[in-house]
Amino acid sequence: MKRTDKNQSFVWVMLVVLGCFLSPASQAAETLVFTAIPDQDESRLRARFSIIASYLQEQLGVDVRYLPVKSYGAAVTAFKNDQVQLAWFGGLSGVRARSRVPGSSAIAQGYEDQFFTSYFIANRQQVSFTASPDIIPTSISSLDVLKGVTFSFGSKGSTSGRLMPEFYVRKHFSSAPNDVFRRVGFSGDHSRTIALVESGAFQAGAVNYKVWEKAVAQGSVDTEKVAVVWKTPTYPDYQWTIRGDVDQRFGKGFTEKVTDALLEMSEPALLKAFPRKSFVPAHNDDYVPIVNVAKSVGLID
Amino acid sequence: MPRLQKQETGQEGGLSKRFFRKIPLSLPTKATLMLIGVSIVCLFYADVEVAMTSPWAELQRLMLGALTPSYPSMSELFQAVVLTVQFAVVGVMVGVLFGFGFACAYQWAPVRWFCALTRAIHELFWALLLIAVIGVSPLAGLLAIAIPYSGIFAKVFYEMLLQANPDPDWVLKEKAGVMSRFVYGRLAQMAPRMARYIRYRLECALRSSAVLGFVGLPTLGYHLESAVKEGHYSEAWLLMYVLLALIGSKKWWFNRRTWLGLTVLACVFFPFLDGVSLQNLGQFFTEELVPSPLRDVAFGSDSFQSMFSSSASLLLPWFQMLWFNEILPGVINTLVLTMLALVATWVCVLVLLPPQSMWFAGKNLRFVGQGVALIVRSLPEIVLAFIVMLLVGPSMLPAIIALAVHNGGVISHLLQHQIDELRLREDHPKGLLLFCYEIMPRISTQFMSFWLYRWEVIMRETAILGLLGIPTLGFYIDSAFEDIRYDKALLLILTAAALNLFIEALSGRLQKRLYNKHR
Repeated sequence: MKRTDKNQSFVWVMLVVLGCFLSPASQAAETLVFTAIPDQDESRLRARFSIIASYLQEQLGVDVRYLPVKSYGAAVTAFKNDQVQLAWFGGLSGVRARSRVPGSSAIAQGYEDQFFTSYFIANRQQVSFTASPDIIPTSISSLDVLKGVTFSFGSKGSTSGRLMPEFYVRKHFSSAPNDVFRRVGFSGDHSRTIALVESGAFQAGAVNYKVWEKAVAQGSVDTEKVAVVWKTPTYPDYQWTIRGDVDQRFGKGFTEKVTDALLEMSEPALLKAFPRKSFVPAHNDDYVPIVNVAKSVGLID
Repeated sequence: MPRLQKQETGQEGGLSKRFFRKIPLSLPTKATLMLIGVSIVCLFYADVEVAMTSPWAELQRLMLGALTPSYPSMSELFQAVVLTVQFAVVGVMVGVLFGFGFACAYQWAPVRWFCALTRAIHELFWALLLIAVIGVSPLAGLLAIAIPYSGIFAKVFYEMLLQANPDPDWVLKEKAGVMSRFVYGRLAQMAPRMARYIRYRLECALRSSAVLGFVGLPTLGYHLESAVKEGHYSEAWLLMYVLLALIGSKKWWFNRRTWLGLTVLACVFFPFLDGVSLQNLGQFFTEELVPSPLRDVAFGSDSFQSMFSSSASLLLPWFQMLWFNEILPGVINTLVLTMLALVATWVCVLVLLPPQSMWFAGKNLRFVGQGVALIVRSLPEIVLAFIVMLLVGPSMLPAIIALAVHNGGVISHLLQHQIDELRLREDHPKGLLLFCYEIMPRISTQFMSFWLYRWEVIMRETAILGLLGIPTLGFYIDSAFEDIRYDKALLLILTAAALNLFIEALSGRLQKRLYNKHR
């Protein structure tokens, strides 16, 4: 009995503390809410992006709050429903979000996002091909060795792990991935794709080039076992997208103000959250290639 | 071993009775043969292949993580624990409330259909649906747990109440009202079992708290999911240990003395109205759920008849494509996978159950047995599947093993208490004889009910096993949500619900026959 009392009081203390955490934060009438969902590193999003929120708050002079949403679908829905007005989307999710919110526009992209690329990687013991660590093949015929292997994409909604690789597979083989490969999986994450290909569970896969290069630099992948088969041509990826009605709500010229604040972001601590070198201007037209590719693959109507 | 099998599966004999009446074999044997037959047929269609892998580098990282658990931010961890407990408690309690209500009206077919529908949707998809309807809010996360749980509670409670001994009810028939008869005649008998099931559901809610990451609430499950996905094994293991500790210690913090206080506190501090916005409700139903060929079609002032025929001509190709590309292969793969996983689960239960029970194991062995069951039922299926997949490559095999081990752990845990509470005669046999001829027959109805219910669970869980590349119904539902095509998702979900109903009808019939035979 004694023991239960003790536990009981512990629970009470815990719950009181909880109350402090959850007491609704005082929200001013006009709060800019943003969300950000990088598909390279999903850990501790809140810790990483709360500093971005305070930076933007300082620059814009309005309350800024970060809404930590992890799934692409949830983020697009939140943007559509006006629960977030600004979002850091991937290429495909950005296109999906803008098609649902008329008037919204891409305002800035990462420096690297102007020429993003995906790598096709393969297990060297199971797929025979010549690979050298210095020169990454750029001729699409390099993909020929992958016919009939088991293949893993990344997450289903990822631009670099799914959309662009699938597009080039379809283009080169003129048939769907399910017919080209013996088995098609969706690992859900780039790092996991690398791990699966390294172990030989899947013979080949497609990954975001940044994740691959980071893994190689950190030595977390054995390049004796896995190597790059082909590098896709470049395409535009991540971007900041803002709703069209923010000028009405936050005052004239607000979109430009946000754009400037993003482009001027130069502190390494802030940029590390994304992680990008800097931000450059972007426009909806920059993403027309993504729209066309997504339509041809059948991921959007 | 054959004897054991006989006793076991034999309990499902009822259905096969008509088909096999002429064959001079005992009913249990016939049923066993039938089950084995079905699985063998499934094996032909099963996609099982073993790839040559060299998993050691990854497994080494995984093991190393187990030995060096760490987490970078303690305050974040603490907050996650508190949030996880709060949501689990509120979610389960809301689920119990509604579930009990539905259970009382469960004979009524529409209620049954509704509950099957709520159960057919994975919590993750409930979260996405609710976000679209009521906005990104804690309430959406809560309902994502509470809605499917009320469907589950309804079914399980209803079946438990059916299994109550009808004698008290019979005695009270002339003397008491409907309410008293229900409470004292049936509910009182089954209350301990229901309480145990609620405690088990709480454990599930702790595990499924990853859902809340969708609505911006970082719980344990949310952090665990990211850590496992990205291969941060030290973090993943620490979170696993915390989760295990929470689940393992739940009888101390969630019991008959604390549950009320905990529930009240958790509810008081729950931000029910935070971020809820209903302005998109109408749009969701009039736009997102409308099949895509029918959107933006202006019917104008056409007569009803021409409207109907033109929309049918638009819908038919859409439906046909879905049917041949997704629904049909999805249903076949789902049936094959679930059938095999179900049989494998049954084997796992038989292996895992005896070491947990006081009738078969000493204190030390029991500790080990219960520990193993705790671990296998607490590990997320996706982790189990990932590990098995590293070893044997992608196919149905990792899914079967992961689902069987996990569900075997769950069912054996639920049955263990019941076994230990049985009263045996003093000269009862020991060992295998006791297990086969005394224990298993006495718990068989409950075993069946849990076991057949797992069919649904397995079907739902296949949704998150996309990494294995097995196109089950769940896989297609997941893709539809990922593409934000709710119209397609709705159709696939309705198919899954229909399958659920079919299985439920089957298990209901089996149980009724068994029950009548026992009387």
